[in-house]
Amino acid sequence: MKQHQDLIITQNAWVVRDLHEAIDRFRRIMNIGPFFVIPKIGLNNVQYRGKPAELDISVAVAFAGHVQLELIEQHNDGPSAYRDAVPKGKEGYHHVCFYPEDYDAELARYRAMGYEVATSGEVASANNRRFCYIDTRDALDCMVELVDAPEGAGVVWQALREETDKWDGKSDPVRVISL
Amino acid sequence: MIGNGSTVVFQNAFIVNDIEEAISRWVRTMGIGPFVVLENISMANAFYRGQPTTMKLHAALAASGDIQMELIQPLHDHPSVYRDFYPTGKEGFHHIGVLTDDVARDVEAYRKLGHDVIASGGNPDSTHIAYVDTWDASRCLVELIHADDSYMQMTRMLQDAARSWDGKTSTITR
Repeated sequence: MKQHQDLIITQNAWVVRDLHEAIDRFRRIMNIGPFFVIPKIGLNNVQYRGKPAELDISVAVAFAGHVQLELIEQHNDGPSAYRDAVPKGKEGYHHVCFYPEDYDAELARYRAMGYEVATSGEVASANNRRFCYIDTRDALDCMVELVDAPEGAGVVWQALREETDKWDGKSDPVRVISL
Repeated sequence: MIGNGSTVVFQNAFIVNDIEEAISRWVRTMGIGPFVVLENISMANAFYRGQPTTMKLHAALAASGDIQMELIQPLHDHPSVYRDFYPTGKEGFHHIGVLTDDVARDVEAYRKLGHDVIASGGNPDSTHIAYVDTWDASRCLVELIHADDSYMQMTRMLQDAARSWDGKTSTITR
């Protein structure tokens, strides 16, 4: 039997001060790679706690087995799910990510329990794929990210996964990509 | 395994104040389970910063896909690999667990990078583990876990239990 997709943690994410410096650190201690850097990721319809907001971020992802590690640097000063948990100038573990089979139903489940969406938005280059961060810190000491991609993280990230599987452990360990 | 570019992050571990209450929070909010609870366990042959030590704890484990969630309630107030980062009463993310076929080799690899072992010992199945101090680099520790037969057997049991879970029963026995 396959585990229900809503129950599978696909990602561990940290908020960092300086993305490239953090990549070096995480490469060293985790010995994983390559890291794929997505500078200034294009986002649409960003909201912070229900109100329109600016969000200027760069992210980097790498695989550590089945789980993806993500590092996030926020460039602007506005409020966000990242700043709520990790104030400017600090670093810390931030969220786990799920790709539920029914995004709206899963979001409604969290809302019914009283958990608020801190930041939501759409990834411009991915057909405005919706994502949100639910502020579950009171219960879980981290936030929960939901991504509206019922096909699952394995499909969404397949190309990078294949590049990772082919990696020789040395060459081109940090790669800038667009998304 | 550290040293070949293919580290597998296997476990997310949080320190909690009350294991039963924390399990109910994780089951309800994140919707993962069931948890197996290991009560009143002590690490065998435990070392803390180079000295023999004792520390009791409750631990709870559940599978979420290929990630294992671990909740740890330390049953001690004295300095330990848990209390150094979360004094009594504090909760939070503590470590990621990495499976290895050779803990000693990976400990040495980390030492060369300037990351020393804070604590080491054996879990209840005498699986060899070591906590490496990567806190400054990642705001969490790395736990090296020897992927021996008994440990992997328990891992498979948890994964099977998660696949056939009813979504309600919060804890099961091994």
